[in-house]
Amino acid sequence: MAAECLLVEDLHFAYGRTPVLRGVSLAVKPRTVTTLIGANACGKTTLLMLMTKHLRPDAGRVLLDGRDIAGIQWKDFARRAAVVHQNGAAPDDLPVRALVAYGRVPHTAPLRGRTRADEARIDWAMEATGVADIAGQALGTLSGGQRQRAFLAMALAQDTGLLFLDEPTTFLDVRHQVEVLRLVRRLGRARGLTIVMVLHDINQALMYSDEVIGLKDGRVLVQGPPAAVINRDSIFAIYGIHLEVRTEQDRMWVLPV
Amino acid sequence: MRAGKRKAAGGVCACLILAAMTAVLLLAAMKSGSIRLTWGELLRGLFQAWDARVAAVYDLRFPRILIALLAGAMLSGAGLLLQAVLKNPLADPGLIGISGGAAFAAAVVSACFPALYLSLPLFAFLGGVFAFLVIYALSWKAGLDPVRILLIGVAVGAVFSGLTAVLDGMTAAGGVSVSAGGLTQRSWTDVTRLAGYAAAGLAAALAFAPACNLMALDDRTVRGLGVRVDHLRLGVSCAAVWLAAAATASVGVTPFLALLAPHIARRIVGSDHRILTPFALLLGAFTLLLADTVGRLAAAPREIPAAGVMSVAGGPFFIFLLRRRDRIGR
Repeated sequence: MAAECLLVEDLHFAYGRTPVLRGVSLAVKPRTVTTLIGANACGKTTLLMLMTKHLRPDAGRVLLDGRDIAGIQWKDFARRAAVVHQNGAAPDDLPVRALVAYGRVPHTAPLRGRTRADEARIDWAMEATGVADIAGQALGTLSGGQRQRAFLAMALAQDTGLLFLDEPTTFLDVRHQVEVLRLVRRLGRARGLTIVMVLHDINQALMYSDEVIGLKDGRVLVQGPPAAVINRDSIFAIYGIHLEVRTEQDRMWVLPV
Repeated sequence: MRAGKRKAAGGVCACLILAAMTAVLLLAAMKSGSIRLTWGELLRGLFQAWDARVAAVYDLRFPRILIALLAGAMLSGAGLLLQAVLKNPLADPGLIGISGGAAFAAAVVSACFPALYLSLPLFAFLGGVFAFLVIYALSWKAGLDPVRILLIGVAVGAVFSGLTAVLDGMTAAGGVSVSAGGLTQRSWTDVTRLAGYAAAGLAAALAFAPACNLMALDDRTVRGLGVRVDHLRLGVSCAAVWLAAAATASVGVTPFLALLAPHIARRIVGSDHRILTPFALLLGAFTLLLADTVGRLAAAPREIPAAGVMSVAGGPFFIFLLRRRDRIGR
């Protein structure tokens, strides 16, 4: 798997007259987990949508291996980057395997069926995310954690070097949150994936990221390894609240009280 | 995998059973009416020897039956495609004014340019497309809100049926509109005229089955899979309007069928369009023929239009669906 290099250059974006991003530049290092953090409405999800072609920037550009993604065909892009959205919709009676199989759409010519390699990739994705044993179950019968893992499996079946996750832990209880994040980290390391995600929980961001990017009012405040850039001051700058930051045995956490 | 195959086999079975039921209904519809035939007479006359009474039935009743079957399948297909494209299980070309636009265009053409009678469905299509664009443009507000599209559709539909009534009143002859339940006095020419439009539209509906499946996911997910969802939506919408318009131009506005048949089909065979679409088309054909036959026999020798039967049966069903949705919404 070739490591994809993602570069964001001076991105501006507004919804109507409300500016959301005001000049965001950043670089995503290959084969790392990079997490976007920030207060509500700071533009994290918008930035993710811009990095995945779902929104068009008003100015600036996003480069994937040196090419502006605006000029990349959707199908080519889908072979290089997969996105797990928040709250994905799908029919309740759709079996898990059928959902995961959609991940092969970018690799399949229209009217041509799936090859044996496609099937193998689907099975692998289900194994990797632990949904193989519920392959025949309908989505409507799954728990929130299983459902999230099924959507993650679909993204893995896309067989891309880049994986985007938009708040993959929302609506999950704490056990499933940790399970999903551990899974993401493990898969990222095992497959050499470049992962970009949006997380609400600052401690999860610190724990599972190689790099964090702190956004505030549509600008990048900090970027770097958590240990280097997260401290009492930067937390205040990002979230506007004074919180205690503790370090113990190389682990850093923020007391969210 | 195995479960998937079993499900597919179940769906095929359901299709076959429904096809058999439709065949029985077809024979029953041929048999009953002012010319009374026994089963024996009917089958012998159809398959073995010429029989004057069976031949009369063949010329008078059979075209009507075929048109009911075709139009029923077309309306059901239109509803199914529209529901997929709008992600709204309550979408119905009759309710949201597409049929109204098609009927108005057809009325204008038959009033002002009677010579173009043969291409009536084409003009109905244009009218339907126009109505759909108006509804789409008016209801689009950061996505399509299901209730908003229904309300605007009802208003657009009311304007079109009003315009049709105005046109009716202005033209001396009266009755230029393709009036509701126009299944009476059909000949084989009408069948062949409809068949071409039906074949194209129904083939498109079946071919779009995988597209409809994809559209059940979020737009952003579909786009993320490298699929041009806007192109799909355009194609499926065109097929839906084509089916609704051609059926409306032929048999008039038939309420609720496009809502009822796909919905029942979904309950029986699930939401995989590779099975759902053929089943819903068959069910639409079955339902309209049933409505027409009931209407023909219930008050014989007088006739109740199929549209009337559909309204009486479909209205309560629609209310039931709305109430159920409300409950789920909370």
